Amino acid sequence: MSDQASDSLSSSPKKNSLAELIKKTALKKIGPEDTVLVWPNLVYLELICMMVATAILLFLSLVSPAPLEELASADTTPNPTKAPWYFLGLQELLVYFDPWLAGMVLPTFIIIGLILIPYVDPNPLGKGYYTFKERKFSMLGFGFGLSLWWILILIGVFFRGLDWSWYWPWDDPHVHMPAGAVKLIDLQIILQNTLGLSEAPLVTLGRYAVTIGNLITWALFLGFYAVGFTVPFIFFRDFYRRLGFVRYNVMMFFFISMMGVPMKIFLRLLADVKYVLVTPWFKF
Amino acid sequence: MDDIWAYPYRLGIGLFFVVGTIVFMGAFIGTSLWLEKAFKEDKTKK
Repeated sequence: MSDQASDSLSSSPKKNSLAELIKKTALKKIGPEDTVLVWPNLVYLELICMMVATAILLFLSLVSPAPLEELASADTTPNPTKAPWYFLGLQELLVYFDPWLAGMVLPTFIIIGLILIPYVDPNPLGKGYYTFKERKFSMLGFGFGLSLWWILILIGVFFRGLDWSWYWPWDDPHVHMPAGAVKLIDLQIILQNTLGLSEAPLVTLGRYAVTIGNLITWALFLGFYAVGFTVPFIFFRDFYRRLGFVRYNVMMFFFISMMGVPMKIFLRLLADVKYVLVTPWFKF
Repeated sequence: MDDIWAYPYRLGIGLFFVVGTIVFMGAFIGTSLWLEKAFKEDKTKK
């Protein structure tokens, strides 16, 4: 790049616009003594890594045949039918959530949430070097989400057998688990039965019959988000101030939604809750 | 309470989730702490 072009770039007020969106995090001055060259320092290492990875893949493809089965037939569908391993986390989520949520909404949230991370992160530390102590919240939050994802994949690969039932390694994988061992019930029905609430709808909006139990589940669902938004705002005010109104709400929405996933999983596992909230349009 | 470990393995799966999360988190955080320590003298660090 010519000096003239370089000067016009450096004098442009928009040169760090993305970074400056985040208050107090304008790019630090980094002198030549703090940096290394892309070539040869980085690219040479990348070339070596690429060659080693290619050699490993070639070796694996020679010694380990692809696990292809016979031609597919509608008469003999496999039980269970498993997705490729990297999709098994999603397939496992289908056990706990409505297909629309597990297959569409949650993956979309994950992707959008990951895209938004650099825009909601107010912490300028940790650029270009490894650190945990300076980025505890980010590392713990991201680590938790990643752990959950890996556990779901692990379960799908190693612990799901016939009829998508859970099989420990010591269970016989050829024997079906007892049918009907798990009877799932919607939370509003559990509340109706436990609290002796009326099943008669208070209001009927088209095909949506609103019962008292249904209203309580709405209150619990919205209350979960309300508490999630409010508690850090009250007890960690500095955290809120550093983020600002918009970034705080965006970040907390995705964080609370992420925390809701394992909570729903535990409700399903331990209390046989099928759906926390049931409407004609979506079930959560 | 005799069948808490029987199918559908509620307690076992619940524990699996908790222990799995702790193990994975331990691995992630442990790795980051180790990398932080190993590259402490890295010249690219500001």
